[in-house]
Amino acid sequence: MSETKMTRRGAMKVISGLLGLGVAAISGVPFLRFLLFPVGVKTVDSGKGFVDIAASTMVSRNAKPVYTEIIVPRVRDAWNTKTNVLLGGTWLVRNNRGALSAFSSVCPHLGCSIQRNKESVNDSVTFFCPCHSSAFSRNGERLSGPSPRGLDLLPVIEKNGRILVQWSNTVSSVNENDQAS
Amino acid sequence: MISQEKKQKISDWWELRTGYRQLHALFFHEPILGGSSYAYVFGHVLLFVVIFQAMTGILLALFYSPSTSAAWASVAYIQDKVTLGWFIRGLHSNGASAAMIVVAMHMVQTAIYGAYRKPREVNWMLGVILLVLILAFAQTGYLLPWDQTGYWSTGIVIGLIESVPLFGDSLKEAVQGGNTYGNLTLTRFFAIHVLILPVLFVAVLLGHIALTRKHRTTPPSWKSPEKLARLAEPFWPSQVFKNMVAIAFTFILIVAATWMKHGIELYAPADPASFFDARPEWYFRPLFQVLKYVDGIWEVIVSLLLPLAVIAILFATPFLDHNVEKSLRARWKILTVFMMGLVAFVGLLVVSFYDDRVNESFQRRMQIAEKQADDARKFAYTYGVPDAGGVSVFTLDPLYEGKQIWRKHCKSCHVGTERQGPEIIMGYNSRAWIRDFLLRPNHDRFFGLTSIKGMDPVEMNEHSLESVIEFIYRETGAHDVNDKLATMGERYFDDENCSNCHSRDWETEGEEGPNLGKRGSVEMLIEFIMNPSHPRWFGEKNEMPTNDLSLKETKAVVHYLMSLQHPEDSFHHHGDR
Ligand code: HEM
Ligand code: FES
Repeated sequence: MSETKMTRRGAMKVISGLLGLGVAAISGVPFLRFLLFPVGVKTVDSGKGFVDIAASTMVSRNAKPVYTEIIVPRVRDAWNTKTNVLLGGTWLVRNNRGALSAFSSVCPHLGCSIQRNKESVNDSVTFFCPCHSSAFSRNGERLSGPSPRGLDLLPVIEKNGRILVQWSNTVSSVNENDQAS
Repeated sequence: MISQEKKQKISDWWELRTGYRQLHALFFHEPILGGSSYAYVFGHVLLFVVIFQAMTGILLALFYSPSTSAAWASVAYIQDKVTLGWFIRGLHSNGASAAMIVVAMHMVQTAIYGAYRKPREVNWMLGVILLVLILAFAQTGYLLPWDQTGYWSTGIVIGLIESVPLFGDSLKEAVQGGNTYGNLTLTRFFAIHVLILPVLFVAVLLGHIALTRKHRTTPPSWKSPEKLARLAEPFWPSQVFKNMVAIAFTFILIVAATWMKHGIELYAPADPASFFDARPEWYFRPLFQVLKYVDGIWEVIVSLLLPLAVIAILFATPFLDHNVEKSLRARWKILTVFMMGLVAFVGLLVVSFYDDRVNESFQRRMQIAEKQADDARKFAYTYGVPDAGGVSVFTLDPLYEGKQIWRKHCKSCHVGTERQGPEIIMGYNSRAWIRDFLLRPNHDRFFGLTSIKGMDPVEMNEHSLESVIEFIYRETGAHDVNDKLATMGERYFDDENCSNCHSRDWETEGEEGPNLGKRGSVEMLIEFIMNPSHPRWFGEKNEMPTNDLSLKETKAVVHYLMSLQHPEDSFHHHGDR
């Protein structure tokens, strides 16, 4: 008698545990999938296309670098579609052979805004970062300061007298390009 | 395996530092007089549902955004984009319904067992507070999606609050956060729902549970003390087992209901300019229904005092029934009051749903509302919701411009009771519409409200009629024409006198009836709208005013008119708003 009672109690314990596990498992799987939804999903999408930012004539050979804002016509941010969104800025430079470069205004060190060197203490310093004083040349090469590399380049094309750039958060740097070549 | 001795040492270590054995004994080994029972499971099931609500609620809060421009859009995102979002949202809503049902069962059980009596009065009263808090959870949560149904039915509640004598206005402004519904209403309701209520609820619940441990479970009064003592069992494992069975059962019901109905409805974004038949969640329906039977000052009295009276009676129950005798028979008065309350609740609930079911115009409006919701969600899914949020999702409708022009320039003469021209609504220029027109052209739907009375109803056999309809249908440029039938119809058209009054070549002008060439096609509608008294159609008989729409605007409105022909493609409509 006492033995069968023991097994009955034992069975109740085991089944209670199993029921608890079952409830946890059946709810746990959807909970986790819901929770992890944003992983690997492009929740903010500003499109891949090139954005028209300025007239080609705005940037002449060997002239001072020109700053322009990058305004994307359409950004999808989770549930919203926003129009004419300011994503960032770019410094445009044209060298003496006419080739155009677009540098991201985001400092490769910790992301402050790159500025043009107006004081021109040192002629070779064209750009500098006010946060931790990284300095860069006209070609975007790192000259001094904590930045790990030169300025980041944005893909740029010229078409029908307009300058178009492609904004992206993953950028290639001048120095890496230099090393590759 | 850890040796017995080692186990003992670990246990002693913890006991010295936490004293956990006392707690453990209190929760697991206290004997239940009369033994474990399924009657005692409800409180624990409720505890489970509440924890489940907290979990699904936290998950939803990871995506929800409380503002009038973002709330609906973020919920639509949860519903349609996030992995299993519809499921989690459905679980949270159905979990709330489950809580209501289980709370009622919990109360019925404790009432029948007399568990509100000395010395458990405070425990029962804390329970009533929990009930109020649960209702507050439901009421505040319903508004959060900022969809039509939450918006309009919360509007009713706010209206009731406003009707409170003396300080109703201030109370309303405190609840809704300012002079009218807006962003502050949502931030307030959200904060109450996810911060204030949970804190209060947990505090009261801890007291509630602590007191049940102090007083232990109330045994059935109909068993003798000797018998109760003899049958006594510890909580663990037999009561735990019964609790787990009940919890698993409840869980399966919630999951199955959610899965099978594919979650719950999300209506179109709140639109202050629309007419929406507000309906509360089912557990508030009885009160909603009562309000249908009273008006004027009585509406205020009933809506405010009835809930208060019910809560007050529940709260006072331990003191209303202080008979020393604990048997069921001795407590028949209070139990009868409870019974009647429950019957009234269920009765009103059923009547409320029945009223809606037999109300045809309500059903029709609901259909339109559902179609609107469908469209809004599809636009939001496909294009994302504009910054302005909410109803601006409809501006993404490819037909939006046409609909706006229609509303401003055309609708008053073509829709509704104040019409002056033929009715133009869903189904315009469909086969069914053409048939109806041919059979009774002078009916109010068609030329009845104009002075154009030249055409006699068409009389021909069904086969010829069908083919003539197909022919006229083909002129509209519809994509699903039966060409053979239409060509046959063309012949009948010429043979059967139709051609006495109507040409069908687009060129001929000034005949008795309008030229039917390309009638109802994009080309014809554009030209007609830009110049309705052109001799190709009604010439001098025309009554429709020329309007000053540009070609682009005319095209947009024609685009909308063409969409009416095929009511099945729901993506392009959201009903006649
Ligand atoms: C809304 C959330 C509620 C939760 C989560 C909850 C939870 C619980 C739990 C876990 C127990 C212990 C059951 C046991 O050990 O036997 C209990 C007992 C009790 N509850 Fe609730 N309860 C809630 C609401 C209410 C309400 C609305 C009332 C009555 C108005 C109420 C009245 C009682 C009473 C009187 C007991 C003692 C039962 C007995 O002595 O057998 N509770 N509740
Ligand atoms: S962020 Fe630019 S130098 Fe540090």
